[in-house]
Amino acid sequence: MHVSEGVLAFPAIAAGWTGTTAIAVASLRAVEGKDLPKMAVLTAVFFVASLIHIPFGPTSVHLTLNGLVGVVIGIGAYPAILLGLALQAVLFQHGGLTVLGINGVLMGLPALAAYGIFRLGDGAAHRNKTALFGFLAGAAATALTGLLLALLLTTTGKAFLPVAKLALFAHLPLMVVEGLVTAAAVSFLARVKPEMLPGTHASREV
Amino acid sequence: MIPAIKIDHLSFQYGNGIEALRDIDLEIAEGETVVFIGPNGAGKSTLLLLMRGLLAAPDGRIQIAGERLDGEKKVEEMAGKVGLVFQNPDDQLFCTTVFDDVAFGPVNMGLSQAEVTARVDRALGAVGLAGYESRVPYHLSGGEKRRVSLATIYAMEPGILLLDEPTSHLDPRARQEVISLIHSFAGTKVIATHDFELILKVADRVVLFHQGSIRADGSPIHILTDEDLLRENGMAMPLVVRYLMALHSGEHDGLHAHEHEHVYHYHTGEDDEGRRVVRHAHFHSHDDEKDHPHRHPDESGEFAAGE
Amino acid sequence: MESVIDQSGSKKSAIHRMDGRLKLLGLGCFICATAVLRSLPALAAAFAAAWCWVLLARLPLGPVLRRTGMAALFLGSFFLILPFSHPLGANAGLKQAAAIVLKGVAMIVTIFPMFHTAPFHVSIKALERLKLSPKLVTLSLLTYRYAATYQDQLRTVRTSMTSRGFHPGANLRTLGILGDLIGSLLIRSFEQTERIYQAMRSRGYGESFGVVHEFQPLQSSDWSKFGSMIILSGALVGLDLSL
Repeated sequence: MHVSEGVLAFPAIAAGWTGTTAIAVASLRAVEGKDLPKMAVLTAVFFVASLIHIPFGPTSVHLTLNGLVGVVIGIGAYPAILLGLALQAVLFQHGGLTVLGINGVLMGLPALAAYGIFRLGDGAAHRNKTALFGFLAGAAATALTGLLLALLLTTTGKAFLPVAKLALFAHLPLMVVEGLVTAAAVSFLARVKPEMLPGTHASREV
Repeated sequence: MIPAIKIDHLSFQYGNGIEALRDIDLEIAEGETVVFIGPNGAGKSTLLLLMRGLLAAPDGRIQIAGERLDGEKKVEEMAGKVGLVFQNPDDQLFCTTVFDDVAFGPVNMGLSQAEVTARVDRALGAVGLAGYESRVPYHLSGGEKRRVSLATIYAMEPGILLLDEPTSHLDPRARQEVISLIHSFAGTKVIATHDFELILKVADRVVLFHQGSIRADGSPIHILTDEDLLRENGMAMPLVVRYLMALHSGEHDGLHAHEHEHVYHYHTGEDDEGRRVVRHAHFHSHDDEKDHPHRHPDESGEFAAGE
Repeated sequence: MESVIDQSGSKKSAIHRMDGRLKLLGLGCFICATAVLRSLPALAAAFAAAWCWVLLARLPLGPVLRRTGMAALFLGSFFLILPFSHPLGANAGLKQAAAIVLKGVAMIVTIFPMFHTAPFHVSIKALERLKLSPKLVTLSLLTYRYAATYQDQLRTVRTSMTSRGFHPGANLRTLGILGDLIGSLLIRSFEQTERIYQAMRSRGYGESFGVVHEFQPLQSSDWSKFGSMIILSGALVGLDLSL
């Protein structure tokens, strides 16, 4: 879930922009001109996929998929997510512009973590390791987002404690949903085009 | 005369070891229109990519206008000499306006703003899309997209045009428009296609590919009317060619043919102005024929299948 | 992916005619100023100013209200929480909730005159001129362009799924199908990127590309509009500080 405009105080906004600029600049340095079409196209897919909503009782849930973005794109996932968030803010007014920085950190850092977690499964030989680590990556990314969001809200002021707790609890079912969808997606990729996955999930050299 | 394209004993393997082309020898003269035919997977598209330098040909076996292609750098440098129009317009219309897509090549060639605009105007004019500059490429019709794709390459004013399935997925009218456009391009053309009407209208020469090698290279009519050659190389003789042969044969009416399980019936004759026409034609499956054999011509006026 | 609001607007308003670079800078400055405001009077003024931009841009109010309404609803939920959770009592909580709604809506609403008064690629070009990194410019253009493609593909697949009786629900099967769907979209797009890259290279692509758009030379009307945006932003901050 991203933070909306209007809620945060200036220090948080500034910190968000500082953090995001630093990380984005560093990760963009690793991206070359020839990688740009691939990153853009994958960002487009994720952007479009995040508009999918699953009915959940009276409301519906939107997928974030930042875990999957991390797994598939790797380091470049940070600017990709940042761009996705910017597009959502500008085109659909989800989130916002001043909070783009902090949202980038909230969504982008867990994506990088998801990549790391997925790579932990490199050495494993278990038959279902792809699905398992896919689930862990997806769930962990959502969990981290929830934790960071809750932390952020508590630093905004004591009045926001209930909101922080709400955010934290709301992320619990989301963790499961994102974990399952990520697991299904990476399993699909492993079966059909394993070279899209990092590490030893790829079964043929390109 | 330096040939426009010269390929010497070229073999090519994909990264995963699959052999795509075997010992290709080909020479294409300036201004010639050569069409590659062959079943899917025969290597036609691969050869086009190699000619454009997008795949690395081993040991500079390919020469474009006398220059050997070697190493990756050549792709950008050759942009003004040879252009490749891809099969799917969605892959090559990647900008947000038609103007930007058509201008992309000239801008990369380092031309001035004025020259870029002039080239875009000329290119769009040549494909009949003047005024489309601010349209969104993705929203255009299939035929319009195809024409914009052509314009993106025309704007670089290459002498050699490579086209991969230029008429696929087009409605009949759009197809005719694209065929005319291709016909009016004055330079050297190499076209990979399944579209036999395109071939009959523009080809000077046909090269038949199968399983990575060249099986035939010669006049379109000779290759397209050689049924055995086509069948042995994974192709089928197109109906339009059969009709042409029927019309051409003149001596007897009612050519018939067996092909797979189908039986074709023709009845040719003359129209009111004395022109030879195919008056009646249909086909049905072999099994139908066995169960309900047609009667012979002397009995009904129609023609029978039979040996 | 084109903005519904941009398409249906009049396209001739003062904001539409303003130079793209100064427009983004000026309104961006306004948004930043709004972000630091704390007092209710100043926020109310900012809220009013934001709607003034919308009216000046002669944007269709229906879509604007609809989109803003969703965000306002979410922000409005703070009215249910803060009066009860604020350490300084219900009054303070109410005030803070009001501040959040005013601030949030003002900033969100300003996005419309900022980005929905010109085609997307022109806004990106303006950002490029304002020194946005060339890689991000290229990424933005390509992502925007192909988002349209994949949205359509997704719609097609969704239709074929529905026509085979699929009803999405909060169950395991749906999640699995969704995962497969996203996976197949990823694969198709991945294969397409290789072809896109080849098409770009065959037209001379090097490191990045931008938009071929020349901005008109700046006019005094651009500067006066920009000036008034800056002055207004400054006034808001000044008002806020004095309260």
